Amino acid sequence: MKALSNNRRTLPGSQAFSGNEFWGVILAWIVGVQLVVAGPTDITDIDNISVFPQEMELNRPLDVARFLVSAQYSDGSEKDISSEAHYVSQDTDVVLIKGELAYPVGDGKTAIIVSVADQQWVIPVKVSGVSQPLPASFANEVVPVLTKAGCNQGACHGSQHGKGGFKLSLFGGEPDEDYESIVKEAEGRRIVRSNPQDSLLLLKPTLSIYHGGSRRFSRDSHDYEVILSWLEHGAPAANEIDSSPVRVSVYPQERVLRPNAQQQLVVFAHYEDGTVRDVTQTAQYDSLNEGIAEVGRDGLVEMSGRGASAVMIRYLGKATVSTLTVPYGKIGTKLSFPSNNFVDQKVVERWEELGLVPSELADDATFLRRVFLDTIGTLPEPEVIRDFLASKIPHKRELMIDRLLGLNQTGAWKYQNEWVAFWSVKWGDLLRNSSRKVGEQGMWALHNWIRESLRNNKPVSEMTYELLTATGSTYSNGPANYFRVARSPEDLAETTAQLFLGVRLQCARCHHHPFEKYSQTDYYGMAAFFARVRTKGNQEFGLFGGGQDVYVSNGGEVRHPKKGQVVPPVPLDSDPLETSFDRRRALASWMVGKENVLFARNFVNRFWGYFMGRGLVDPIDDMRDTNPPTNPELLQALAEDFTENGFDLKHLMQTILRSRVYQLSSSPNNSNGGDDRFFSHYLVKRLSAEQLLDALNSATGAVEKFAKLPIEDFDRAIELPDPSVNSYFLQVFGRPPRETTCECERVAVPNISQALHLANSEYVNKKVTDEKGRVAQLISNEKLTDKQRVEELYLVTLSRLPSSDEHQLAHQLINESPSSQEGFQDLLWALCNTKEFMLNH
Amino acid sequence: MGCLFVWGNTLSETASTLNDKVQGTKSREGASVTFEEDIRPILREHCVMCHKEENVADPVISGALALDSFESVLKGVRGDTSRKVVYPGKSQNSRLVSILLEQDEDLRMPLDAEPLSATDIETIIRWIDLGARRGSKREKTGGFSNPIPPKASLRVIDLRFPLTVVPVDTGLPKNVDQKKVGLIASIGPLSPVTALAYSLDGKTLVVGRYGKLSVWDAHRGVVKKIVTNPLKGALHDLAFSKQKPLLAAAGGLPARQGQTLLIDTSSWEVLHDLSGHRDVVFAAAFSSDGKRLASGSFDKTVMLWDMETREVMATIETHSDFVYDVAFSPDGKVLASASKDRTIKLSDGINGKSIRTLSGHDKDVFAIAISADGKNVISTGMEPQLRWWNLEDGSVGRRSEGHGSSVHQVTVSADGKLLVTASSDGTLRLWDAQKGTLKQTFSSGSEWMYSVALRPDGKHIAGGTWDGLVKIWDVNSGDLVAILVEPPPRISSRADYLVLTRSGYYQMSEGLLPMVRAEFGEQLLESEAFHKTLNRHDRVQQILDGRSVETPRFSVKK
Repeated sequence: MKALSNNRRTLPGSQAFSGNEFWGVILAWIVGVQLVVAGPTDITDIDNISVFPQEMELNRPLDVARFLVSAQYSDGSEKDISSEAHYVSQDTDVVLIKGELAYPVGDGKTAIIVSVADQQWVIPVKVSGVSQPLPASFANEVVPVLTKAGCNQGACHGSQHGKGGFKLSLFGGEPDEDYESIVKEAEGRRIVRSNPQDSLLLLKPTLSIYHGGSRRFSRDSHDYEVILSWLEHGAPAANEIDSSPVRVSVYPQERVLRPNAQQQLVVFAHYEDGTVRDVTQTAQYDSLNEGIAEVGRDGLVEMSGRGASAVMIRYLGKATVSTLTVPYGKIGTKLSFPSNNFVDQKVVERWEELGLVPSELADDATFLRRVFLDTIGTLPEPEVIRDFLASKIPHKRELMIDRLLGLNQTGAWKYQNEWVAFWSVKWGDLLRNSSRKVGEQGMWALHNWIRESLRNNKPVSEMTYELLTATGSTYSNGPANYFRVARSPEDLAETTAQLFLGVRLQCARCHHHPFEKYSQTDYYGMAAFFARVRTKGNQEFGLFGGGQDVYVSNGGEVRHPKKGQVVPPVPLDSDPLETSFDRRRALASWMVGKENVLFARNFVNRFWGYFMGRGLVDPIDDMRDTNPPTNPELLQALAEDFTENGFDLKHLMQTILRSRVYQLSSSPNNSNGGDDRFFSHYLVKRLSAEQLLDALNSATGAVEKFAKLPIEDFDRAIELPDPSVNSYFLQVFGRPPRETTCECERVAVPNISQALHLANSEYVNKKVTDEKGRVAQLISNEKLTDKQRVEELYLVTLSRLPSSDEHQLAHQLINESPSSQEGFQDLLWALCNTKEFMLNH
Repeated sequence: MGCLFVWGNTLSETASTLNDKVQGTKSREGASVTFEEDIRPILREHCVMCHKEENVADPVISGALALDSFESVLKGVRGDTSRKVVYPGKSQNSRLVSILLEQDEDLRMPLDAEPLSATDIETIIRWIDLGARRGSKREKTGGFSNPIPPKASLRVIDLRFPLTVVPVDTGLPKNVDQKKVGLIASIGPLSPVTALAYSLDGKTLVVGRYGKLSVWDAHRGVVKKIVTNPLKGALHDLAFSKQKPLLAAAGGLPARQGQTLLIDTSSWEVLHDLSGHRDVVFAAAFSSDGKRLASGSFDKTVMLWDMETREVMATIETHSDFVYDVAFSPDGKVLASASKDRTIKLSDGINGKSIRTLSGHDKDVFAIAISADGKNVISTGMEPQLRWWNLEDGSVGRRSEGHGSSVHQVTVSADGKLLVTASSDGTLRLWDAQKGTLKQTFSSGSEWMYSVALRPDGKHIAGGTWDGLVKIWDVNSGDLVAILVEPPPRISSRADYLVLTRSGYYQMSEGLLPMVRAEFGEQLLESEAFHKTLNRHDRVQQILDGRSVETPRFSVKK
């Protein structure tokens, strides 16, 4: 923008728009139909107009550069008015203009005059390498064309064995192999250097002859021209001058638009020598939220809804995103939202940018049920609810949060058992603790370690260090089982990256990660930390005890599967580490160290997701540059706060729970119904399998006996250590089998089995009609009136008092029943089948 | 002004589109609509993906209907009770039309795709109603001669050939006397040399590549004859008949057609054209009695031809992927074929019936040969070792290691004692055909070798490279003797050539002289004087005859 003032010229008068409208009318009249004409932009409201880029350099004959002219409105939104601007080349022997595109013609320097409304800009242009052109680069120009055309995708020639006898590397990850396939294989069948246009490489994708993959581009396309030009130069192989880009960038990186606006993106590849190329034509585009923004092959985005969507841009193994927003309402209005802590401040800033108005605070009963379920997985007891509702203490919510977390307590921590049990389930899931994987004793060892760590509120950094560096018997040292759940260096690299960094590294095992910067070298660099971990049988529990010792051997390396070289240990996004005998120590220290920002971001995002129903990055364990957070500042602030407070989980929980954002109602207002990612209202979530079974048991007063576990210690689903404890109910409601590290393993998707199981099963019926159960107790207590009994049933199920309408309906039901016992049972059954019961809202 | 201009454009465009629509329907009334001109492009774009001859046998894909040719369309749905889809003159009875207009999306064609445009459907209806005529057949090889004017023009690439010459009198201090002398020929890029063969008497070397067959005098090192475009596309194999003065030249246009030409070896005229393959013929072999010829194609089939009638005797369709090579046993009873499907199939050499499949290769089998005693098939390919298979029981006896990467050709010498191979590791190798031991390696550069031929007298071995050179080695000394270079037809359609020798002497046709320059380091030399010293037929002749010649000395001083 600096250059703007120098280049900007103002022309007197403006003649274009009146003529424009005139012709629009004439045209509509001639063709006899009502045309919807995108009229000229209303300039009254425009604060500023800017032209991008401010200078142009073209140094390849097939380069195309694109202008973006943007109008900034006074409300902060912008509009792409490139097509309304007028572009004139000062020297058509150097550069030609077609639409908003500039094509190099001959070497030299000139300028392009861009004019719109009454303003003009002079954009200097430099063209080189065109009069004496270098051959099109195979790796840098031809491969991206093949990638964009989809030739090398997994379903086509990029599949393991190729298609139709022609194999390419997946997404063009191995240009050298692709060169041989195209140029040399089958006696050079696919290209004709002496008659390039007769090459199969051009005939097939243009469907000039039969092609199983249909038409990929046409003969008058840029794609065709790039390949043809490469062939015309004799199809040269990749060489030293083809450096691949070090990064790609996009303009605009973020922008606020008006509803239904269109926005062209411009993508640049940056090379090591400082060269920058406009690669808009060959980059690939994916909208991360199609409901808000749709993007075409050419990088033109069309806003189809309100909210913010990132568009992912990929080019030659590099990726970036552009975030485009259509506000929900009027933007820039200050909200009067009392902040409880920094979380609220960051969220409010985002709402103001988006024109979102948050919902009201949730009522006390809703808050109480929510915070009980979220912290200890348990419904609040009726007397706790009554006390809480009756309490007049201004900070009663904060006090309740602290009671649940065992913070600032003078006496005993009432909910310790539930809290430890509930979060042990989560850690058990994350660490994939299961007797099927590590044996019965290994499972118990790990489970007890988790429980003990939680009981002592061990910092996550310490837990991580203990896990990553564990040695010794898997039966007596719980963390050692980390190396039994995942056994090979590759599995350990994947698990570690996903669990502690939130990075899904799996793709990079076999090829360059398609949506990420990570290569196979990065993958095996992580794996190398685990190359020397070994296990051997021990006889701690007898000859056939099956115990294993984890130890570190003094040799062992991983090799790059394609290059065959030993890969040294290097953590993701980091420099190589000094390693000692046990390489894992270096990794563990790096992992929890200050330089590694991914660690804290990963954990705060997960816990935000657990409490708020959606991560700031979502899916919560898929953090990558191309999946940006919906509120980067908040993620950053939470991560910093977590780090500064010594990775204290309870502190993190307290921070999130105390925020006003957490305590909002789930009912949307007029403006924020469409928002499902900026937390302007609470996002309802179904109770997890364990929460639901425990809620059902506590509501009905039934006692659950789990197979093979003593009922005295294990009458709660959240206490179960192992997914192999048989329970149809838990299975139907999505208890994860702990096979993968992915959070997606725990499913909350409703299905018909769940509905039938709750409504019709003998299992639930037995609980509702239990002889010692809730209804039996209520009826046998003769001091209670029916009204109190109804109240009690509402409190144990929905954690609130019934409304007067509900009282009336309940009485009607009970009066019409053959017996009051049956009536209360029916009421309890009905309450357990409400959405309100099944949801944390 | 700019906006006025834009609107003006839109206006005229709209008007002309409207005009088209009005006139389009009118002008069609009288115009003829033919299959080849109007219908075929529509079917090719929307239907042929599934409905093609290749898929007829698989009704799940094709519904037993092929639409890739006029004949196929008229045949309709194949099977016990064939059903026509086109009734000439009656579009309303023709399934080809009704299925396009079907309301039910699950039944309408093309399946899972946008319906055909109204214009396309109208064209099909009109074609049927006008009698479903075939019309003039277009260039069968669609796309071959339909170039768009390319923006970038085809470039001539300079090829550099270093010469073994001692520069004297350079006028430079001794320590900078290291500059290289070489020739620059503005004739690149060259087409890959995809086929090579010596005649039975060893006097002729035939070289095949894209669009060109050249006939060299193998002793004098000159081109006797050029046949331009004997067939369309590349020549992938060349084989001399042992009985008749015939050369089989096989090749074709990838993914379109395959041909084997029978060429008279005195006039070099094409006598017969064995057509029928739907993709290039990659290998052709005569039976030793010369009565049959086998052609193996990328269309996954092998065809067995009767040389008397030149009819197809049998088509072998047992391979599931490209066929790369074929070979007859010496008695002609067994025909072996090698394929990308990782197998070698043994078939009856007369009726083509399957005898046995040799499987065990984990990757493509590029090349096979049958030993002179008829006992072994020798196979190789993407896995570069040579395997000796027992023809009787299909067991693998011996494996020979040597090549570092894919082997593209293996050939048995005329006397049956030797094997020669060409590989993408840039070498040719000579093997003992009985023991399987490696006798010699011929190497010069790393460019892929596609083809190999051993002169019947055993003195020379020739290899064809991807970058378009024929390299000839002396078998006894193992030295590279000569490199044969030919400009592509677009630069010269005459019998132009350039022969470089290891001694620095060279010879070339008159026509090529203007395209060849000499350089010393980065400095261009005065060509006339240079050629006078080094362009020496007599010396080249001596070298090709195996005599040693002194390294030429050349004065660089102007």
